[in-house]
Parts: sequence; structure tokens; C-alpha cells
Amino acid sequence: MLLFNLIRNENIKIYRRLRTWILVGIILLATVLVAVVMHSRQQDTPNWKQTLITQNQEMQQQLNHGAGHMPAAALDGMKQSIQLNQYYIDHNINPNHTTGWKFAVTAENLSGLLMAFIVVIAGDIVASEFSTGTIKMLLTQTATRAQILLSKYLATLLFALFMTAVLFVFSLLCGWIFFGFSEAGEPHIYADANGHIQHMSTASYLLMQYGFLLIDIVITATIAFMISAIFRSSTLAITISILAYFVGNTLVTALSSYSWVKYILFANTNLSQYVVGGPHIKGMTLGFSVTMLVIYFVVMNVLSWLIFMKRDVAYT
Amino acid sequence: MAEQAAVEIRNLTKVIGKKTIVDNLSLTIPKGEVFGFLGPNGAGKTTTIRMMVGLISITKGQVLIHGIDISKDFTAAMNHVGAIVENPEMYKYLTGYQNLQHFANMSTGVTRQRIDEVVKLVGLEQRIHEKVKTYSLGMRQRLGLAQALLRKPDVLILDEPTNGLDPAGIRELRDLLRYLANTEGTAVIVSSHLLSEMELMCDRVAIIQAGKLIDVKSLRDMVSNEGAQLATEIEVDRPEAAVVLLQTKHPNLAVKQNGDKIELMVARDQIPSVVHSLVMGDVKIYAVHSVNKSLEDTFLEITGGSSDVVI
Repeated sequence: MLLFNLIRNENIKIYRRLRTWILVGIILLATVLVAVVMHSRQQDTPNWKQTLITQNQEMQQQLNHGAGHMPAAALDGMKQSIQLNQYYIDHNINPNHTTGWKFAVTAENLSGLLMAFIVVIAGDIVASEFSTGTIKMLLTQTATRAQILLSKYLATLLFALFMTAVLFVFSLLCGWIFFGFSEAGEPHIYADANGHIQHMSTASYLLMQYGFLLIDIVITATIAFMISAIFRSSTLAITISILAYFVGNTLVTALSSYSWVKYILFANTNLSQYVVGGPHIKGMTLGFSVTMLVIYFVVMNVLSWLIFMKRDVAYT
Repeated sequence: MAEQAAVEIRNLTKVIGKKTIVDNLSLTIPKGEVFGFLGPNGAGKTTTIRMMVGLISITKGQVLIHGIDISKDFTAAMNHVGAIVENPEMYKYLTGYQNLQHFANMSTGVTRQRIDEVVKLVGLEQRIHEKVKTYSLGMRQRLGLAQALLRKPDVLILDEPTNGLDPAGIRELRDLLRYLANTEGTAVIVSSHLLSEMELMCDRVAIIQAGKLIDVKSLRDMVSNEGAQLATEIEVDRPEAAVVLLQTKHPNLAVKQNGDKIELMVARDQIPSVVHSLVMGDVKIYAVHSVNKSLEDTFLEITGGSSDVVI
């Protein structure tokens, strides 16, 4: 009951701020923008086959030249693109033909923006209490520190879920309005972990991607929350987590030829790699990634908890 | 059955690094008393208060609230306590009322009715539904106090409560604390470096310097009473003559000249005879003051006069 009330308090503090609704607004705006741009481009692709063929030739050239000095992951990615394009050409499927469901799949690429906004809230939720001094008031009620930290963490996860739901629902809505409601079962084509071309219904593909995205979001929010709780600085928490999210993935790709890279958190956060495109590092397995994620998750939460429990709240 | 102390502090010590901030402090504060922590800035008052409400860890010793150890059962102990540590910081983007609801949610048994009650008690009815960012420092103090009173605490801990209050606000606060102590039996602990304020507010004060408890004084002890020697000033037209006159007529009194005044230590019932002697000696008297020995003098005496206390 108390925990429920504490979470309600945290929710009030998140949703009564204009900032939160500006972030939601930006997500909505970005989704509409993508829809408008895609809608306007849709008509003028009668030569799509020719475009794909040219693309494939260019990529093949890059492959031939870059084999020695490009990272392994980048080469693999290119090989798969070529394969996919070839599949489209062979089966006479125009990849630029957009349906409502396909649009939602494309809009899922806004997850970087989504992640940044979730990190803003996660990185601020503990640190802002310190920077405004309200932490003194919060910790001198009857609730224990453990209860307060837990309520803040759960409120962060609820907010992450809410923002993800906003993107999911709104991108589907936009998709249906701009590109039509039907064709949920139309196959989505992708290359699997072994480089074979596979397809599943667009609706299932969308749900699967969101499932993997949620795991990524929970981990990234936990990083921001941990830094927020340990260093009491929103700026630091937000900057480091966003950098880690964007640079982390790039770093893993750039260093993909070293096998120790697989122990870096960011090599494991995107589990969709085991279904689509294959793992970043050769020899990584789903079991390995899940184990790494659980270890990182537990360590980060234990660190936040230990430090928050012991901290002397002195002259703020 | 012996009355249980509202607050008992036993050998409370805080060491940070190699520095001892609070050194083996022991105090007992009964119900219904307004108790003051007095000391210069950096003496350890706020550190002591922070340990009492669990904001910082206790290096050694115990804080018992109604016999409950704050380190062992935080929730049960804090259920008796309302506190403001330094300035009351509130959520500025919420209204005063929403802030109170927020803190009420964190405790069990605080009703809407109680929220309205405390709002009235601190006199914030007019502005309670406005955002806190529009409040003055004085109004924030009142809101902080309302927050501290939500759980009907038996122990009220206020760190520098008069910061930002205007003279009328300070007077109201004093009356409110007195009312809580006398009527509801609340033990009130205030800290301040403002001597004059403590003098008006407290029943007893603990004088703290460099983390050590120097003395605990009942304010009734400190103010001079009937029969005690009073420092008395008399303004006269011929101070030299007056000193000589009094030295001959009252050889047991220590008299000295200070500008156009003379100063002497004398018991209250002796003053008329002193005045009489002066009048008979043809010395003109313009004024007679008896100067009470204030907390300030006592404080400076006890702490050896070295302090950055604001008087």
C-alpha cells in the first residue's frame, strides 16, 4: 500500500511537469513527420528495380575494395543488404511499397529518440531531488530509503513503458491513416542469423521488434538511473547514458573483430540480432547475451541500492 | 511510572574522515518542552539534527525517539517526528496543496481533513492552491512547517526555522510552537545561531561549540531574578561626584563611571536607597536602567567570546 502511494507520488512528479509532455509531443511530431515524408515519396518509385540493382552494384564494389580494412560487422551488414535486394528483385516485391503496418515497423527506428527521452526522465528522477534539496523532505518521512529508491525505479520503468506504448500506438495510427489499415499479414522479409532470407507477417515482426526494444530500454534506463543515484547529477546521468547508447553501439561495431567485445554490455542489449542479421560478434549466442544482460542488470541495481542506502545527505 | 523522554540522545558522535563533527553528545528532551540548539555556525547543530532524522549515518551513539532507536526502526521512530532541515525545499512546479498531498501520501493516516487543518494552522489558506514557485521564502517556511505537522508529530525538529520570516511571522511561529508544546505536549527542538530568538522561544538551550555540548541552561536560570544582583546604570549630571558619593555611602557596592553614566551591581531592593543617597547628595538623576544579564552575555562568557554569532 505504501509502495503504491510512493509510486503514485513519483508519477505525479513526472506527469505534472510540462517537460514530460513536451517529450511526448516531440515523439508524436516526429512520427507524423516520418509519415508525411514517406507518404509524399511513395508515388515516385516506378524504377525501384533499377535503383536496387544500382545499389547492389555499388555495395558489391565497396565489398571488393573494403574487405581488408572495414570492420567485420559492417561487411556482414552489406552482404545481407545485397542478398535482400536480390530477393526483392527476384520475387518482384517493391520494398518501398508502404502499408500501415510496414510504416509502424519503419517508425520503430525512432527508438533512438524514444530512448533519449526515457533517459532524460530516468537520469533526473533521483538526481533532481538532490539538486533541488527536496531529498531532505523525502527522506525525513516514514518511508525507508529502500522503499523510496524502489518506487522511483518502478516509476521510471512505468514511464519507459508508457513512452514506448505512445510510439507504438501512435505509429500504428499514423500508418493506418496514411497508408491504410489492411495487409497486417503481408510478409516482412529479412535475413536471419545465418544469412538466409526469411519472412514473417508484418504484425508479428512489429511486435517482436518492440519486445526486443523493451529489453534494450529497460537496460538503458537502468544505466541512467544508476548514474543518477550514484552521482546525484542529472546532466551526468543523461549525457553518459545517451552517449553510451549511441557510441556504445558504434563502438561495438567498430571493434567487432575483437572477441572480448562480446563482454561489453552494448554488444548484448539488442537481442533482435539473433533473429535478424546475426550477432555482432561471431560465436555469441542468445544464452550468452541473456546471461550478460542479467549480470549487468543485477550489478547496476545493487550498486545504485548500496550507494543510495549509505549516502550521507549533507549540505545540499 | 517514569515519564518517557520524547527524545534521548546518547553519546552521539559523527566522524567524517579524521574530523569529529559531533563529539559524544548526550541530551534528554521531555515532552512539552521547547528546546534549543545554540552555537556558532559550523558548531555541529545541523549535523546533529541530520543524524536525528536519519539523513546522515551515526558514527557512534544512539538517537531514541519515544524509546525507539532511529537506526533500528526508522519508520516507527519517524512516525513520531516532523522535521524541517535547513530551508524547506518543495516541488516548485506543484501547488502548495499538491506538495502537502505528496508528503501525506508517504505517511499512513494523514487525511484530507488533516491537510486542511495544518494549512489553516500555518495561515496559508489564501495561497495554498498556487504553485510553490510563486511563494516567498516566508511562505515556503510556512508550507515546510505545515508539512512537518502533517503526522501530528510528538517531536518537532526545526533547523533554523525563522530564516526568511518577517518579524510578524517570527512572532506567529513562536506562538505556534508555544501552543504545540503547552497544549499538545509536543517536544520542539529548534536550532539557531540567533541568540535573541532562542531567548524568546526556548525553555532550555544546549550550547554547542566545536561539536561538543558546552552546557545546557534553563532560560529561567539565566535571566536574573528577585534578590540577585542586577547590573544597573544611572544617568546623572555629575558622574565623578556620584561615584565618590556612593562609595562613601554604600562602601559594599562596586561603582564605576562610564561616560555620563555610573554602573553598579546592586540588588533590586537596594535601588531606592541608592537613588535616595544620590538625591540627597544633590546629584541630578535623568534615568535608571537595570540591565538583565542576557543569554548573549552568558553565551559569550561560556564560549569564551570567540564566535561568529549573529546577535
